[in-house]
Amino acid sequence: MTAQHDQECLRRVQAGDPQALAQLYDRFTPLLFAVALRILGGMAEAEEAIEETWHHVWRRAAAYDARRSTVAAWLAMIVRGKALDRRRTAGYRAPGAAAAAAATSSGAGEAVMRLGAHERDVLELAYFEGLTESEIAQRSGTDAETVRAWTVAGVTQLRDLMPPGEWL
Amino acid sequence: MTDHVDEMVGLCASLATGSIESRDRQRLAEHLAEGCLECEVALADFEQSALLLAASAPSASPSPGLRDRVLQALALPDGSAPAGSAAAGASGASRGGRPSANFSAQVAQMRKRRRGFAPPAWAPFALAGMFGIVAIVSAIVAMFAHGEAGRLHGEVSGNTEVIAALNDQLQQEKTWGAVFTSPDARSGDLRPASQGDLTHGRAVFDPLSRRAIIVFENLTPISNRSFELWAVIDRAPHSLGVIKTDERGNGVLRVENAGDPNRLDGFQVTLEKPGGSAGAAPGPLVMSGRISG
Repeated sequence: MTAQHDQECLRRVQAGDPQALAQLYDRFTPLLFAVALRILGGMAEAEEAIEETWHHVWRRAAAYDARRSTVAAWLAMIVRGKALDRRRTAGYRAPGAAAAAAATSSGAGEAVMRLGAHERDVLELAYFEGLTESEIAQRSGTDAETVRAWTVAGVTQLRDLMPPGEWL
Repeated sequence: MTDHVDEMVGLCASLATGSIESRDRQRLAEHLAEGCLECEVALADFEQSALLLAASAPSASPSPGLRDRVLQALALPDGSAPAGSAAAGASGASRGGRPSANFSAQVAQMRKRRRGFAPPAWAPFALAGMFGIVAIVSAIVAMFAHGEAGRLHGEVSGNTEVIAALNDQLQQEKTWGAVFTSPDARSGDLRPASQGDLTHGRAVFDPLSRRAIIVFENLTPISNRSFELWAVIDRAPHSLGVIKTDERGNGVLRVENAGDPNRLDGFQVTLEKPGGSAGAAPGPLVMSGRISG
């Protein structure tokens, strides 16, 4: 399946086609569940975040703008937000270190492992733990400017390390 | 890039990964509302990087019953139909939540406030087309008023050609404008081969249409020589034609088919004899760069 096919599916979801949502569910739930589990650390909580995510997609599909992002990136942003909100409100403990230790063998996992330690740390603290630049700076014992420089370096390196073609 | 844009590109990275502070989020929204292609491309690039980060999470499967629970819930009265509202209030609008899903709505609102509306790239051509049509119709009416109807057949036929040409031009601009707005667009900088050289290029490639637009700066023409653009495919150069720049070295090259997106690595510019290499091996390298996204 291609990014174009994903967009076509989402257009059908916008028109109220539940079959199209089922197709997107089958294609993206493994990715979304992995993100939710990485953030929340528990199967039950991660499944609740997934339920919220797809319910949100169904109700708010009109908010998707194909000019701004791919369907995959949009869905990942939604599940991340749902999982982080859930973690904050329920006071879950961050699974960070344990989850990070469970290295993946995927191309994406290998790309992230090839980042420098600083770059990898700031990206993971931001994305999976929802910390802002100043919070990361405080935790890392540095300043926000340095954190941003590591962030830029990290996303730029990731962009260059991205596997060619349809990698998702 | 200016320092200002450098700083904003940094904020694009923070937004894509979710670490942006709320005050910076507002500044970036204002900057993008003013219209900055460089930052729009950077943000799209970085969001793909963030997706790669998401995909690095250790793989896991939910329980088999989850699929039925999710899909059956959509049949319930409160979930039976997607809402048409584009103003989606995601729960992640809170701090550190969804990095930029709501952000585009924020930028769009700012653009509306600034300009009343955000015209598409082809709007000037559409406007020019409309003015042309109005002018033509006015001329025809004036001729009728002066009893010159006898000449109308020839004039109308000529005017129809003008309108058709304007429509073609408008269509062309829309087609090429789509390269920039493609969700899969890749981009990259072309940097000079020699240190201290001020030449610079920026390439945007749409893998779906295979079209590419390359913008050049400071590529000042050299007498009795031509600059030639090459697509680097599987590490081998393939000529895309001669580059024409103005006397200050500025120019834009539109390429209808830059090559297979799965094999295209980037672009390079070489210095050739007048008219280009004509099938010979590339001459001295002037600048080169990879594309990504």
